[in-house]
Amino acid sequence: MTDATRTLPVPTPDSDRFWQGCADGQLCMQRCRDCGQINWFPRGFCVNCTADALGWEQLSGHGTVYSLSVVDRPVSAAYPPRYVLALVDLDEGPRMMTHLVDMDTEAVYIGLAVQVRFEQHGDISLPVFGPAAAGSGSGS
Amino acid sequence: MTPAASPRDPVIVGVGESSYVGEPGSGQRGLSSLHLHAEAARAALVDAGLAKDAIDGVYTNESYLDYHVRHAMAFAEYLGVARTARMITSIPLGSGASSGLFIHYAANALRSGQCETVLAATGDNFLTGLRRSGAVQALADNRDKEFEAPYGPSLPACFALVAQRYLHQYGAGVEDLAAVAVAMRQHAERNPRAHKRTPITVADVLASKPVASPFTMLMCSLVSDGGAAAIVTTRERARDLRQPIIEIQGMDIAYGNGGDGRVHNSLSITTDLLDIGTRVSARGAMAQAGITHSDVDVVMTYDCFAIMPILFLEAAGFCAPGEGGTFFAEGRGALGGDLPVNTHGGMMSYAHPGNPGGFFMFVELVRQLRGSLGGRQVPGAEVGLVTGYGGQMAFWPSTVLGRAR
Repeated sequence: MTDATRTLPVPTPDSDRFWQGCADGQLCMQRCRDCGQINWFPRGFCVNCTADALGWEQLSGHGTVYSLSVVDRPVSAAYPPRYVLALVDLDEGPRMMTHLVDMDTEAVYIGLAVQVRFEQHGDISLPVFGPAAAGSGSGS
Repeated sequence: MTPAASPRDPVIVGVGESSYVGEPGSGQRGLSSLHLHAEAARAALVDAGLAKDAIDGVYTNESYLDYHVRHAMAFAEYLGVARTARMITSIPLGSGASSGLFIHYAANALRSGQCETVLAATGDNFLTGLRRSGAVQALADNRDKEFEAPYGPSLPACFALVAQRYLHQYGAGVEDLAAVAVAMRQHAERNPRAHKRTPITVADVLASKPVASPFTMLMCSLVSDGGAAAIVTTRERARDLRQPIIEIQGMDIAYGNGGDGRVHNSLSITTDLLDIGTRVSARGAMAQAGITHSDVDVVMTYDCFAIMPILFLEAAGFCAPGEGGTFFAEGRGALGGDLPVNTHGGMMSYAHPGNPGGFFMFVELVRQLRGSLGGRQVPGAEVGLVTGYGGQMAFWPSTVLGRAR
């Protein structure tokens, strides 16, 4: 697979810390110290209470598949000929668009417990999800 | 209760389309995006019996393919709109909502007295300007550029996420989705201008190429060229024009999806993909029109993918949640059924050039309400509902049109 034309994120002042976490193998998001709300996507102040008090914390990396699609018509040659696009509900609440990886495309289903891992694309560590390790997390 | 008529009520007096919709004829070159806009606008003016200089308001939709910093001004210059215009502006991309928003904004410009005669025009050349593969990439990059686009979320795949969740939640089958595609094709068979008219069966739909599960190729909208336009004026001025008056009887829009109480712009920020804003806006538009479900003779729903007519009919309250597929499989949405849906053939069979995809619904509904559609006329159609959406399941206009009462 070539990354020549693959669309990759360009970190912004809002999201730098998120992508730094990914590079360190951690899925991190912002939580408001005033109201407790997790903010996703990253932003400048709390979406719930507008306080500036957003701090970063590492999440469990566990979640559950909300929906998925096995894609047989990739958007370009930079993507694998078949991939699984998914929405994963993290145990902490937020929903992420992602890929399901390291699983047979026939074996993925809504409600499946999954766990984050990271794929390296140039300078970016992209969060994707694979099967949850046995006995780990609460997503099952 | 029927609202009292006012001389400044907005009414539709002209509709038009480009000279071809779908693909250029053999030996014919594809037209530019602005040319498609202009052809549709000219056809709508002829339909209304109005000269170009009567137009004092112009709405366009920003184009995916043909970017202009001030798109509506570029189009107004191309068409040669008179300097007496009072408002020329474009609305944000959101093909499925574009036509609904145009009609809402035009109606407000007329009611406020800002304008007397508003032209709304769309035109895109997805087929000849971008080719199919280019369209797929362009639309995927239209997701959130940081947290969605890197995953290659093709437009079919995004709606496949919605469809897969629907099948899971209601225990529905892929045959339900196929039934929608078949129903749309049956309508297109009666429409000589439709891009695709070859009869298809449920088995054909299921056997067509896999695109993004659960969708096969025939459950997805076409990639076409085309343009569509409408002219909206006041009831007072419409009295002197040649066409039967078609009233904008009700309009409403709801933002967002699911229950968190905030708008979203990205699919991954939704809470419940199946709880669409049409649940609110269709009822709002019908209440404003003073009608109930049984008054609606024909429905036009945005149908970029086979799941959408199912969700729209359920959300608007024409069938129970989980029963939308059966509605189509039993022929209730067909011409001759209880509630014909997308009698032109919709975007899976009539055409999907980009922004005009949603506008064709209004063109078709106006013609249904005029009673001018011959072989695909819904007998005695007096009231119709249009439901659309824009963005990533993000905004949901609903509009009720009716023959003057």
